[in-house]
Amino acid sequence: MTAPLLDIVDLKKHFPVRRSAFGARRGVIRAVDGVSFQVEPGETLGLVGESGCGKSTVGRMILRLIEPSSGSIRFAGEDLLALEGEALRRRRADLQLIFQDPYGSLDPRQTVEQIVGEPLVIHGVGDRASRRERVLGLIERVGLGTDHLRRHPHEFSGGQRQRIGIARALALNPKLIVCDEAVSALDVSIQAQVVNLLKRLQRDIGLTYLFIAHDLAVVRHISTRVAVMYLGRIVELAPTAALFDKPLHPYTQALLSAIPRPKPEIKRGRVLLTGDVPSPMTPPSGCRFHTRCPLAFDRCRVEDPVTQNLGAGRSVACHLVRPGEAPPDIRRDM
Amino acid sequence: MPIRRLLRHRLFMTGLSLFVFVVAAAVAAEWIATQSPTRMNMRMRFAAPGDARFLLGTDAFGRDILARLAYGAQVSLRIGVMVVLFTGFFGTFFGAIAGYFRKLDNPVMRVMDAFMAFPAILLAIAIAAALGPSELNVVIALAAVYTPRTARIVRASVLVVREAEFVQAARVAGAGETRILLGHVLPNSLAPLIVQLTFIFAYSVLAEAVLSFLGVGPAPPTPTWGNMIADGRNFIREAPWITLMPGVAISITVLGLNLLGDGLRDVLDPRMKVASS
Repeated sequence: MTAPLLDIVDLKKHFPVRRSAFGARRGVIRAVDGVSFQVEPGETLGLVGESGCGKSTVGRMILRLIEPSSGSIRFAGEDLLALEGEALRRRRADLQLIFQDPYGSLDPRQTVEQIVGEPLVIHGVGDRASRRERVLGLIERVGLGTDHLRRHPHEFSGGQRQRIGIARALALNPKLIVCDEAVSALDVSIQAQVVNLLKRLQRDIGLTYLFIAHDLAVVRHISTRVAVMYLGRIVELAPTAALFDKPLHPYTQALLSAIPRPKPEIKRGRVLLTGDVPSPMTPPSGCRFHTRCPLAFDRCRVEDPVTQNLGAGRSVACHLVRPGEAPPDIRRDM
Repeated sequence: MPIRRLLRHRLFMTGLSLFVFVVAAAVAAEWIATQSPTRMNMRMRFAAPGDARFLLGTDAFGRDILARLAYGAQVSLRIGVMVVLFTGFFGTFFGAIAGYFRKLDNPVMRVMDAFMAFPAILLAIAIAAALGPSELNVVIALAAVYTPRTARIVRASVLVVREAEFVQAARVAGAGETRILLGHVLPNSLAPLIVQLTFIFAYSVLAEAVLSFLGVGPAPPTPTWGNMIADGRNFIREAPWITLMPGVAISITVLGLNLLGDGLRDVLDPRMKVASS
């Protein structure tokens, strides 16, 4: 196996919650609470989970937009968290982000040329003429044309804006792009176009993606491997096909059963989780999923399951998964 | 386009016409005035408006009120422009650093609050009186009074814009704080400022008249609207036009600027419909 491009170990982010102006600490939100994974060069790692499970926070910590509370992030062998100032800015060229909201992520006062060219200007790439040429190349690469260069973001549709955001992310020839819900805000038909654009770009220029989303169908389409997050932890990580064929963690099983099916007449047994996601301020004792898990037993309430490596790139954090035994199945056991 | 929407805004266009009228009077003062605004005609004291030589009449010293109004417009507009420039610069500076660099927020804004604790006109009178009567000192006094209010407004919109995703996008692109603040945050925070500055222009014209009236503005015989009202107040029964004419001039200017500001606010900043001082 080659060295991972991105190696994250025990990453945590705890946001302190203060009461009013007096600054008394009331508690902490454990938005991300011990996340570890690797991303191999050239692959797409899907990161899925419900709203508020911490997946966006993970993405933003990788880009140092949010400072982690603890843990380590190594990129191509280099400790990203040790970088400061100028070194950090230079390293940022290799890591880019595509935002969820194509309306908020483009400065309304800039033209497309300024938006896409800004990273080049900041990093002092080429002169004015060569930058212009590069911007034009990028714009064409994402399916827009020369006549769009002088326009402002408000003149474009959501899908076109997202393409502009992608062109900007590509400007500095990054190695890793974090797609934070990059297609979630788009219409379904536009989603497919943008996802296919991302796949084509990956094939053409060898990009690596961390694809954060809550839409499992999209994740299945684009990802090499998928990590499932729940309440600030990764509960299961597996190659895409394996995960979708045979989910091991009860939470993954519940998530997958919620995917709408093209043929509803074929009953696959939908499992409805009851209750809400517990507050990340006061996560449940033991396994974080036990309050909603239909298979929970005594041990789950007191002991936090460790992440077991099952081989073949699979890992899962559940007491019910034991080597050599049949995996848990929430459909059967209900 | 905002410009087309402004052209269709009737109140804005009314305000613009009034303001342009005052500006034209100030620019054309030399041609409007048939004689110097300070020249006295002792045989023509208290001439009523409609006089053949003095269209708007004369004051207690026989000075031409029309000439004094036109030159007074120059003073008022000059003070207004200077106050707007100073206030715009310092208000943006303090508001931007307070809103963007959170550590500076408290120190900067508490100083601004201290200034705002005094009633505006009282503080302006105190500063102008302390510095002595001159045009520049009026500008300094008014800028000192209006800068904190402007800083508040700039800070408020910087606080909103700094959280926008395009700011994070710029950071991911490698932009430093200066570039983000000057290139992305400020240009997107200026709409409320522009609106505010037109109101400050109007307040300045009014406040200049107040300061002149109280004797802490540009010293007589400089023709300012406030001086003219002060000169005429002893004869308000016998020759009401001496105070009435500059009063009308002030009203037209302030009304014009306020309509202008309202129109700009409707177009540029539709969220804040209620005016604040």
